Order: sequence, then C-alpha cells, then structure tokens
Amino acid sequence: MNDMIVKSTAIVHGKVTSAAASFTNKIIYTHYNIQVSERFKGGSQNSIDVVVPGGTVGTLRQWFPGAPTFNVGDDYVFFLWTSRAGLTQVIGLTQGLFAVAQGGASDPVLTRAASHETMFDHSTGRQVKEQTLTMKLSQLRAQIAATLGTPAGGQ
Amino acid sequence: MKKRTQLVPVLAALVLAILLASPSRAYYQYVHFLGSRSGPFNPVFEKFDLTALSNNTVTVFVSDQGPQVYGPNDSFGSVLSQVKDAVGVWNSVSSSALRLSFAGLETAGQISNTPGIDVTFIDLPPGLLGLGGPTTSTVLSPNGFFPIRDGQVMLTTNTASPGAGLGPSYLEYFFTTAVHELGHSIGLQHSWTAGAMSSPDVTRNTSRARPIDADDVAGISVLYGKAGWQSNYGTISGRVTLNTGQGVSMASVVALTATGPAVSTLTNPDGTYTITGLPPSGGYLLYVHPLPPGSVTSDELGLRLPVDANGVSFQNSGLHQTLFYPGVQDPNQAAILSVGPGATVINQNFTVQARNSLPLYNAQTYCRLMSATRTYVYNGDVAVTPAFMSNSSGAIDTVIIQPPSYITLAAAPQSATILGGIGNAFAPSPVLYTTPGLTPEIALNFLAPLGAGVGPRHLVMNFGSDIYVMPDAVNLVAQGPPEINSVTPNPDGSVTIQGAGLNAASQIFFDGLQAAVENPFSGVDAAGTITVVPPNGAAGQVSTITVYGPDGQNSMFLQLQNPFTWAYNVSGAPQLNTVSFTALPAASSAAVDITASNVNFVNGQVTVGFGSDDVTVRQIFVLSPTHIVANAVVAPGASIGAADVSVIAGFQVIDQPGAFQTQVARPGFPDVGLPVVNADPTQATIYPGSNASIFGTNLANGGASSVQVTLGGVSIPVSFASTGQVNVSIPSPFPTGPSLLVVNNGAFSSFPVMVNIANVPPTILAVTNPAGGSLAGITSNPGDLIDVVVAGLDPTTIGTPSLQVTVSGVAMGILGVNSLPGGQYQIQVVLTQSFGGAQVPLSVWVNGSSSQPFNITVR
Repeated sequence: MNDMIVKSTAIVHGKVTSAAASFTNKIIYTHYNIQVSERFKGGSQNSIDVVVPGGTVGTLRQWFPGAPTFNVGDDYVFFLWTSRAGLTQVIGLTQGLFAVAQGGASDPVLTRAASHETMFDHSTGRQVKEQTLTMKLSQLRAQIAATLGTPAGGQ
Repeated sequence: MKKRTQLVPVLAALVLAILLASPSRAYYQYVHFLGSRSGPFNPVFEKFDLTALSNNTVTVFVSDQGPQVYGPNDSFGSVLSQVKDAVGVWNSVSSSALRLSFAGLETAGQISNTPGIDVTFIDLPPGLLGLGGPTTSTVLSPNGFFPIRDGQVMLTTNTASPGAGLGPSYLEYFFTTAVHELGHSIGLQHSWTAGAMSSPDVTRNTSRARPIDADDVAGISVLYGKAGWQSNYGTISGRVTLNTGQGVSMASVVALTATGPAVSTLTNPDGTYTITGLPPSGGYLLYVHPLPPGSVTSDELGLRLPVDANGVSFQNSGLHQTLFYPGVQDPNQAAILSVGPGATVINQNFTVQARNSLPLYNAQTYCRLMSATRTYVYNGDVAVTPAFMSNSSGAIDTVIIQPPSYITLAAAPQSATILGGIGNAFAPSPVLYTTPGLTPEIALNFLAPLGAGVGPRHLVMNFGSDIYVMPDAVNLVAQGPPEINSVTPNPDGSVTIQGAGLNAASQIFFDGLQAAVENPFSGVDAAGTITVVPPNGAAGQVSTITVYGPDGQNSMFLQLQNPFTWAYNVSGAPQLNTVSFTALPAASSAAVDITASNVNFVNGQVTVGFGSDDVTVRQIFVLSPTHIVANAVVAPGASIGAADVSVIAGFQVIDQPGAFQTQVARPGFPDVGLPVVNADPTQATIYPGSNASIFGTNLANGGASSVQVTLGGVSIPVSFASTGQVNVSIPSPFPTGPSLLVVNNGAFSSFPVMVNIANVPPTILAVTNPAGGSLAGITSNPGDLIDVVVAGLDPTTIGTPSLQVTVSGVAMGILGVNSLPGGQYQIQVVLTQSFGGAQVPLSVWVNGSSSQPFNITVR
C-alpha cells in the first residue's frame, strides 16, 4: 500500500461522469471522466481523464482480463499514474481502485477487489498475489498522509 | 563471460518465490449463448476466422520500437527471442488447425486487412507485467462465431528489475508470461488448472520445459481443432446441481489422472458441462469446485462471464462444496473413469451443497532448497515455488501451503494427500504455523516411495467440512536443480558449460535462445559438462546463461542473483545490403533475395518479415551466412502502403521501417500459390523425375501450350494447365537444392518463387532375411527381422525420424543401417505387426517421399 501511495502521481476520490472509447493505434482505451470530490495527492483539477485498456468502438470490442469497467456514477478512490505519454491510468489496473460503499456515511468503507492479472512486487522484484482490502476512508486518508509526510485530510 | 562472485543470499522463507507455481483451472473461452436464456446452452465462441488467414496462420508482429528501458544485460534481441519462443509454443499444438508465426517487426499502428497479433511495449501502470486480449467483432460471422479481428499483447516498455514491469527478458517468467498473454489474444480466458492460462499467476505450474498443459491444449483445440481432432481425445459430460435441484453456473469441473495433467471446464448456466480434449486414460478422477471468490466480479475484473444475444451476462452461482465424483471427499473413494479416444462418458452428475465460505483457495505451494547441497529440505536457505520433492532421497520432503494473505486459516487440514502413490502427509503434519505479522501457513511432510516417478503431482487437503484440491501442486524430481560452475570458451567458438545437476536432457539457453549442443552431457550429477554453440549474438551483447532441465527446474533457482553471462565478441552492426523486391502487388508471391553484412544466417534460425499481416513469409532458404531467400505471399485483399522489412538472426536484429511497399493487384498477373507440391499427394517432396502441381491464379490464358514454366532458368514440360493449376514434370537428372520457378501464362511472367528440389527417394534393390535369402514368395511372421537393401539413400537421414520403413503404411522398427559397397545401404527392420498373411507393400521413406513399393507377405 505504501509503495502504491508513493508510486501514484495522483490519488483522488471521485465519481465517474462519462465514458467514451477510442483507438490509439490498435489498442482501444476507454476514457472515463472522473469528477473529483477529494484529492489526497497530486493535481489540482476538478476532473481527470482516466484511461483503461479495452472497450468498444463501432463493431469492435477489445477486452483485457483484469481491466476494470466503470459505470457512470461509480464512486471510487483512485490511485492514478500518468505515463510519459500523458495517459493517466489506475495503478495496477485494480490494485489502485477502492470502491466507496454507498449509503451516505461520513466515513464510508472502501473495498479493493483482488485482481487476476499478473502483478509485480517492486520491492522484491517478484510476482505477487493480489489482496482484497477493506478499510474506512479515514484510515486510508491517514495512511496516505503518513506515507507522504503530509497532514491528514484531503483537499 | 562473468564469474559468479557471490553466494546466493539466504532468503526469507515466507517471502520469496523463485519461479511460478500452480494450481490449475479449467479452460474457458469467450462465450456467448445466443438462444433462450433458459437454454439449451450451445456456446458460441470468439476466435480467429481461419478462412481469413493465409495458410491458417496468424502472424505475430512485434513493435519495432521495443522496450524503452532495459534491465541489466537485456536487449531487444533477447526480448524478441522470448516472444518468438512463446509464439512457437501455441503453434506446436498439433490438434489445433490454427498456426501462429513469429513474423518480425512492424511500425506502431500498421494497417493490414488480414487478422493478426500485435505485441507492443507500453508504459504499463506500476505493478502490471503484461496484458493480452482479443479485438473481436460484435457481428456474428455467417460461420457461427464472433471473429477476432486482432489479438493484442502489451508488455512493459521497461524491463529493468526490480522496480517496474516484468524484469529482464532472459528470466523464465518473461517467457511464461508471454505465453499466457498470447493465449488471451487467441481467445482463451483464465482457467484454474495450473496450465498456462491459470490465474492468479502465482498458482501456475508452467515452465520452459512444460509451457502449456493439457488444459491449454484442450482450450485451443475446442476453438480451432482440426477435423476429427476429438477422435484422439475423450469427453466427460454431466451436470452440477445444488441439493435444491438448481443448476450451478460457472462451477469448475476438473478431470485428472493421478500422475497426469488436469483438464477442466466451467458449467453452463443450467449446470451442464462437457469436458473435451481429455487424453485417453483408464484412470480419471473427476471433481467439481467453485470458482474462487473474486474470480468473477460485477465489473468483470476476472473472467468475462458468458453473455446472451443482447450482451447481458449470465451470472455465476455462489460458493459450494468441492467433491469428487460420485459425491465423496476422499479421492481414494472416488470413481475411476475410463475415457477412451473418441468416447464420451455421460451423466457424471454432481449434487453439491451451497457454502458461505471456503476453507482455502488461491493458495500456492513452496518448499526449501539447500543451496550448498542442491537438495530440498525443510531448513533450506532458498524458497522455491511451486514445491519440489525429491523422488529418490529417502528423506522427508516438506511442502508448505501458503494461503493468500486475505485468508486467515484457523486450523490445519485434517489430512492431506498427494495422488499417485505418495499418499497422506504423515504426523505430526499437517501443521498450522502461525507467526505474528505473517500469514499462517500449512506444513506437510511426505515421503516419496521408490518408483514414485517424476513430474507434477496433485494435492488434496481435507478440512472436514470441505476439501481443497491443488492440481500440479508439487513437482517430483530425480535430482536437484542445475547449477553452473564455469563457462569456458573453446577455440572453435563453442562454449563448455560445467556444473552440477546437468543431464542429457538439459537445455542451455543464452537469454531466450537455446544453444545448439556440440558435445552432449558427460559426467555425473555432481559435476558434468555440456558443450554448446552460442546463438548468433549482436555487437556488444552480453547474454545471460540458464540451464533448463526437463523437470521444470533451472539454474536460476540458485543463481538468480548472479548468473553466468556470455559477452559476444562481435563487431559491426548487422545491416541489409540488397533486397530484390521492395514492392509487391496484392495477390502475388515472390522469392525475395536478401543479402546482409555482419550477420550469420543459420538454417531454421532466421526470421524475415515484411511488416504487415497481409504479407506472410512461407519459407526461408539460407544460401550462405549472409544470403537468404524468403518466399513472400501478399494477400489478395492486402492493404496498400509501406511497411517494415525486418531480418532477425539469433540476437541480430535488422529493421528498415517503411522499406517495403504493398501495391495494388495487377489484373491478369499470374500468382504462384505456395507451396508447389508433388502431384502425387502421398509424396511430400518434389524431386527429379516427379510431377509437380502449381496452384494459383491467372496461371494460364489458354491451354497448356500457352504456358511456359522455367525451373532454375530451364524450361520444363507442362502436362496440364488451367487458370488455377499447372502440372509440370521435373526433369531427371536435375540439380537438387533450391531452384527458382517462374510461370508465364502467355501474357505475363510471374515473380519467381523458390522451390526445393529434393533427393530422389531411395530405390529398393532387395528385401531379404538376415541370412540373405530373398523374401519373394516367402511368408514372414510378425517379429521377424528383415533386411532392406536400397540405393540412393541420403546418408544424412540415417538415424533421423525422416528415414522410415513402412509396411502397408504402418511404420516398422528400424534396428540399424549398414553401409554396403557401391553406395548401397542395408536397413535392418523388425516386423512389428501382423497382416493376416496378405501381400503388402513395403516402402522406404525419406523426408516424406517414398520409394516404389516392394511387395512382401506377412502373416
């Protein structure tokens, strides 16, 4: 988790407001617009374009195991990473994706599902097994702040 | 080369896994059910349309950009070698009609009209090794499937390790990951049976020696099986229901033998299932287990659920019991099923109870390896996953079960059994080890009996209320892992590898390329040598040397931290000098003559590509170390435009972006289809004196008299001509070897294509008994030894599979070949089959072409 916090170029809490897919060379990327409600790390935008490999363009559908699909209105905390080419993606596809429990709680529960594609542990240089994680938003906020050495609380 | 200067570090047992491990799962494709949502359920798959491919072959091109950042001693040539090897794995499935061909380099976004597979290198988000998947049309093909337009494989653009991506490409799991992602691109989803497509990847038990398993073979064969492929395999079918009678959707049903591979499938929405592609055996066990939690989620993170005609998913059922057929937990009480070739065992039905949770899933096995002795012992200093066990040590083998960290084990299983004669774990195991801060683990002690054999073995753990089966959980081995102790260059350019754990089946790899053996293994387990010729290297290249054993072990088990390397003493960058055709029209074939410098072309080790899926290379002829000819075929509907010309020889990579142009088709232009074949379909080669058939388009404007064919610049007789076929006679005598063939249809001359004129098959002079008596008029018996005296036998075929003797089409055993005066040879043959006293033809075959038959009589 701490490694993911460090590697992220941005960590935000937000909702998916739109989705559109297009080809980049022969790869279909689905572009999701995220309306940011809280920023924990990086950036200052109120909305972010997050891309996920796969999607449907015309009569062609591309699908990659492990790549998430979002619906408009989905509520997540996103651990994001922007490549040198400028594409912003979720770290480890689902590693950096925490679903926010609905219900209006002030401190909602976050859940990260296990991924099923090949993952890698940076510290050991080994493949790793993904974990399902559950924690409160406040706990995540505190862990991010502790790791980054910043005051707890988003922006 | 570099000497190993440090010892392998002692590694924390709970942390490290050196290689991939494996529980297996079912094969599964991308599935549509287009009928009623209530069934019946006939799967409609997503797959390549073989009729849209040239020669049933999907080409795999790699982006000419390559990775941007390389790990230590890594190179683009090494990356390409691993991808090429991975392509060869899927191409090797003999029951599948789909062929895959590594086709060199292409520019990003290359447009082609023929389906293909693209391997690209991108900035994958941290933590991800690779991605693979199909691009599929959402429009149903008239042939009843959803055609894959392209397959995509994305690997990291950064091979530096640790820190990002997959790590250096010379590692085995770069290769096994490439195999896995390619599997996705041809239409396979994840499975749960320890094969190449198993997920999570840490549960996989594949290796260089066994990169795919029976489950993967079944999976691809279901999609692309050759006509009649199922006649060589068996089938089991049935239904899985809850005790309420409701069908269980997406349960995994697995068939395995005690010492063989596992093959499985997932149930349909009504619980019915059919496992096809089972290697025939009289000892199958069958069990059903639920998909592990998290395998399918609402946003399709794992499996893509089957969908109906409207794209609406069929949901999977929840958790349930794991049971062996006919509803027992103990594998020793399970029914043993006999599955014959082409046979179907039906009504193998399960009734299971729903569960709220599972005692264990997604676990991996590991063991400890003592680096000083190369033995697997409980207190070894290196952890290896999956677990290995010695079959000959007579010592206790300890297998550790490591659950994922999100499972908290409250107790050890009541019992644990390894199938195949190893039996139960013995006291005091199973033991649950709990260490503060670490995930509890299960320790199991086993003792392999004499004769336990080698290879993967399946583990069954009984937790009382439920069981957990781990196919291929443990690998039985006869010796410890290989270890290189020295690498010594020889004056002739070969290299002698000295080390422990080597044997006659050891393979020496320089990065991702296997080195040719010059002097086979000599020595004993503690110290032996193998001398090899390194593959062609590039200037400045340093290759990492790995010894792979046939049992899944390799020298990186012990030498990952500081492997031996080989620095190539090569100067000058390879470059192309001449390319005879830099443009070809659609619907054409041509022999492209290529010369290059600073290269060393070796037959069978060269790839030539023309940068587009529309242009395929059918055959490459190596004429000299710097001169090759490639038979290229441009598809009739080829996309018009520029593409790369690439030549890859060993690690030597030459790429010229945009150097080849596909042009519009030329009306009326003769196109020679490849290959040119013997007119006798029983003969696999063309040779002097044989008749050859040339198929193609626009081959004749009029009758045979209007058509001229030249071979090696010499006009040869035309016996038949139509627009689609020309038959010619190969003169005798005629020089053997590669020769250019040109067809003039009366208006235009085709481009030349290269054909190989083979040696004339041998002539049978006599068939005698060992005393020299003729067998003419004599009745022989099964088991008799006979001598076949032949003339014209190519001596290079002696001792190779290309030399065969058949009786009535059945291959007989060749005991030896003796040289006789006058260039004749005596082939000693044993008659291995009865023919009921009939007169039957005996033939001698070389490279697929046969002698004239000699009739003998065999009881």
